[in-house]
Amino acid sequence: MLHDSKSRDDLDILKNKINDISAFFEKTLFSTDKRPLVGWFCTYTPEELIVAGGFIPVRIFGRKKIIKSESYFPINFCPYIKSSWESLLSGADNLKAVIFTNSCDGMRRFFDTANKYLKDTPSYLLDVPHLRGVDSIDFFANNLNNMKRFIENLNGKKISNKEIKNAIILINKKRKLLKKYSQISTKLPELISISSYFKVMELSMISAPEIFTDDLERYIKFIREADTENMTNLQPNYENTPGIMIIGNFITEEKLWGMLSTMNLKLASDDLCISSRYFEKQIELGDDSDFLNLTAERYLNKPQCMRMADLGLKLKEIENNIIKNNIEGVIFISLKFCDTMLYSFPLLKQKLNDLGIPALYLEIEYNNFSEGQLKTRVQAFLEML
Amino acid sequence: MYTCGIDVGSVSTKVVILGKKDNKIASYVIASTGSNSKNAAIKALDDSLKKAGLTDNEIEATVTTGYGRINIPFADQNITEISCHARGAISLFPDLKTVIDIGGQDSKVIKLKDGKPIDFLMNDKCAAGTGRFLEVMARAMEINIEQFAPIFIKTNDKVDITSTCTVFAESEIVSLIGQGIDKNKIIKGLIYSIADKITSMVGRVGLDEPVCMTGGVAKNLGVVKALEENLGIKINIPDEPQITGALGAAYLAQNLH
Amino acid sequence: MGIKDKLKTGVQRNLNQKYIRRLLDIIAKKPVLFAYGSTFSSLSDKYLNIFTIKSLRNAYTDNNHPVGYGSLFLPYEMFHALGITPFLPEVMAGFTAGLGLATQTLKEASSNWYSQDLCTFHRSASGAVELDVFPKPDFVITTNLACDAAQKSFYIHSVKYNIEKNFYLIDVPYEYSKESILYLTGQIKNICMDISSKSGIKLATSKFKEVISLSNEFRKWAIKVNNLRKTLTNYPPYYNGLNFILPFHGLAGTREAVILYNQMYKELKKYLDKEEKEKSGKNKSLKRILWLHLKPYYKNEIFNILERENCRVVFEEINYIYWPELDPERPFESLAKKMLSHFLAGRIDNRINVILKAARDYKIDGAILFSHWGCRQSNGGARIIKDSLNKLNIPTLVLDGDCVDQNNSSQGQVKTRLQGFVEILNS
Ligand SMILES: Nc1ncnc2c1ncn2[C@@H]1O[C@H](COP(=O)(O)OP(=O)(O)OP(=O)(O)O)[C@@H](O)[C@H]1O
Ligand code: SF4
Ligand code: SF4
Ligand SMILES: [Mg+2]
Repeated sequence: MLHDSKSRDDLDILKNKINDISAFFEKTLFSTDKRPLVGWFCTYTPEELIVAGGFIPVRIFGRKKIIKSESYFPINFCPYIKSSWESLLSGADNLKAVIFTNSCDGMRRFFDTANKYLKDTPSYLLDVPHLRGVDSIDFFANNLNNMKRFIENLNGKKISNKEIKNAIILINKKRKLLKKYSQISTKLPELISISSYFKVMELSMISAPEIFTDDLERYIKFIREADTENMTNLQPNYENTPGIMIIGNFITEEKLWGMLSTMNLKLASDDLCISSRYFEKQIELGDDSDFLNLTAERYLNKPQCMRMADLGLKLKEIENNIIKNNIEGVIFISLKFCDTMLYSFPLLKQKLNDLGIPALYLEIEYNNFSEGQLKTRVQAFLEML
Repeated sequence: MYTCGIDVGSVSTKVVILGKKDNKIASYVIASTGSNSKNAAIKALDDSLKKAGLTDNEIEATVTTGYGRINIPFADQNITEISCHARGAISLFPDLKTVIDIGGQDSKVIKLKDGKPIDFLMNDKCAAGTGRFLEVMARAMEINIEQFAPIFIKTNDKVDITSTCTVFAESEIVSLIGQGIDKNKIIKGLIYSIADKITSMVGRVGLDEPVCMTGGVAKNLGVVKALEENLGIKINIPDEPQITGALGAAYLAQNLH
Repeated sequence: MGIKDKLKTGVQRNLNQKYIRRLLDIIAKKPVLFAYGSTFSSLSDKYLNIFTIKSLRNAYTDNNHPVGYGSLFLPYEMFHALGITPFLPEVMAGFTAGLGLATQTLKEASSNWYSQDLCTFHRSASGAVELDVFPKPDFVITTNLACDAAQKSFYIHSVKYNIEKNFYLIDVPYEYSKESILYLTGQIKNICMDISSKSGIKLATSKFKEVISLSNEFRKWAIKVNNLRKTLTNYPPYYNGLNFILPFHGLAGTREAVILYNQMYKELKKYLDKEEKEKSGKNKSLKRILWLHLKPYYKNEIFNILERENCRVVFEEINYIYWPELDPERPFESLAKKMLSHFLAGRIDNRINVILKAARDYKIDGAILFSHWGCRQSNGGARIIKDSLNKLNIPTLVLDGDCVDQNNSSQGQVKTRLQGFVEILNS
């Protein structure tokens, strides 16, 4: 296809601009918000309660080279946990407290370890049921109440119903914007790189939500306006590229995203705990003022993580996404030694076979893989499609 | 009279003949273990006797250690490398608290109290963090392993080696070389990856000074330096670290009769 | 060739359900069963094996009893009250190791995309399910108590047999609290009701009461056994406390469990009496070992080495009676409390408390934590366990290996570690 070179140049300039995340999110990155930070790990942790307590919720990404941490855990143990422990040990995050969940065996032992060897930072474990249903929601709501009390004790300040409600509104807004952004980037793969997409996702979990939502709102507006100028029509390349879905756990591999960004692929859907499983589904504020119950309801009914009991439901969710988004290939990436994730693959593989969708299976260390090898595998997979 | 310690390791067999009165090493031998550990032990012992000008009648007791410790016919007792390396190291540095032995297929961290082992840790089933790992990598790069230390010292930069598994690390190195990356930097990276492995093992048992390093890999001053850097301490190295286990075995043989 | 070896080579060659069923039919006949039982040198082992065969035969034969797959740590009292024959795939995975079938089953699991790093108890069981070696279940019941693996692999079993609708997870909360008891009691009750209505077997109160009483009776004898072992050092040949997982869990609430633990008590008491009489011969230099987690179920040298080195496993953490007496009037709540009392639920402190108590009660000289490759929940706590025991100056060996896959560790390394550990105990 032929394009005149002027628009081509314009497109490149626009592309560079849109993918310059640090420029758009300057306020977020250089935030002057002085509220103390409370760390969290798992998407079943309601940030709402942390915000309501007057703290900034920050997800712990680890990203530290595992050295000291290695002597606390066995070799064959979740690398995300190890690298998060490294960062907790280093005190780099300057956290007021840390909220764990009983998401998996690894996390339970992580909590024990933090409790034992990190005495200066208070930690709390939120018990999240594995089942859905009314009883589970009631039970979970009661646990949320305990968590609320833990947060209140951190600064000796009671959390009011009003504060919870405001926090819910704020985080709802964040989720809504993230979802919108996700839809846009699926539609405009040419303009928004995979790296940028995940960078924004990460920022959404480690920043003061008020500032972040402001920045994101402006960012989305900018992309929308650029899009109405029909710049994207200039590059129809992506129309024939296969739509890929990535399914995984805590996958935040910058190198991988960078690599995928340079390849000819369209990320048409994802099921990761750093994107869709985080922002899908809102807390439905109606007449009911039992906010903890509403929160419990949202978290237990959001797109579920592999840890939940009903794997069948999870497979159904994935199947729906595959059909809805015209997925032609699935990349399954699991951090090594993540049992719940690894156990989901035998059935998922069967399902994908039935649907005639090829899958690439990857087990990786955390932020630590040899690029050459991975590249060959991903490239070969794309060639196969 | 004399006692004898034989350390039949997975890579090399070491013999030490020790004077009973003066505790002086009469002779020692380091030989390759090869495929028949029994023969290797017999041959190394013969060589050592010859070197010292002794006959086997003058050996009062023999203790064997190392992987091949069990089927040696003339041994009076077999004792694990853990006790032997500890005993050997203590004879050289009396108030040691930690011994790190890195051999061909095993690395061990031994914790001592009053000169006796109270805890120890061995590497997991994979060979990462052992001498063999380094040997395989040296072969992949077509460099003699004895070159590692000088290269480590003269090179400033390193390339991170991400794979800890021998097989993957080898292919990673091949691909790094393919990318035209300086071999020296790769070697430096390799040495750090070994040192990181050992550092975490030391962390598991808890670091207690003074520390001594034994086994053949202690001859690789690059590994020693990287480890000292990681742990932030100075490490004692025997003049001939590879024979420490055999030396300890010879000392333990003194208690036998 | 003895009867045991014949059995072994027989199944190795004919790894299919039909053969196993035929075999069980033959052995379970009275005279053969007794002949088989008498090949075991200890009374405890004899009863263990007889009851195991009987229980397996029930599961493998088509009769009126529905078969329920169950994971470890379930309150099997509910199975027996509901008239469901329990079948424990994890225990069976141990058998696949013992019978030399694990290479086959594990290979099958791998080709069905079970990652190499998953717990081999589950991988081997999944392989056996894929190979269609296990009896077809009517219900699949599991729990997240202790570890994540069971709830996942059991769900896959239910899909395999097309009975997802009959899959039940008992979700055990993290903490022992009023709310947790309520939540859990509700679940157990609902599941029992659901199964009862599906199977058409009425859940009679009187039956439940009887089962609960039997469970209490078993508990009583098991406690007596444990108390005896505080001083016992000489055991019947081949006795190993890590072999009784099936009766301890799967048969809780049956007469068999009562008989077995009662016989075990009598047998061990005889040994103790003899020991006390021959006080002079008491083995003073014997090292008393506490065993943590499970052991390899294939042929291995570990316990022979310990024996040779004059060490004796005097207690295993898994035999600790962790639950209070059950209340026959409140069966569901009692079973909920039983589950919530387990030391592998919740914080590691629960486990540490049991370990430290055992260390004191059994006057141990050292502890061995068998670090089964795929077991996150246990190995993830190894550092804390070791540090806690070290505070009491009790040396602890973390012994790497695999309970089912014999190709996942080297005998040489195991030997060096054990011997090195014994040298420390003796120094
Ligand atoms: N001069 C040297 N320079 C560098 N490395 C050396 C040198 N000599 C030996 N080595 C290293 O030492 C290793 C052998 O050490 P050692 O003899 O202690 O092992 P081993 O006792 O046979 O093995 P193990 O104790 O694991 O059974 C070799 O693999 C090699 O990496
Ligand atoms: S990645 Fe898996 S193992 Fe790691 S914390 Fe998350 S759920 Fe647990
Ligand atoms: S060994 Fe560990 S991972 Fe395996 S079933 Fe038992 S508790 Fe679970
Ligand atoms: Mg050696």
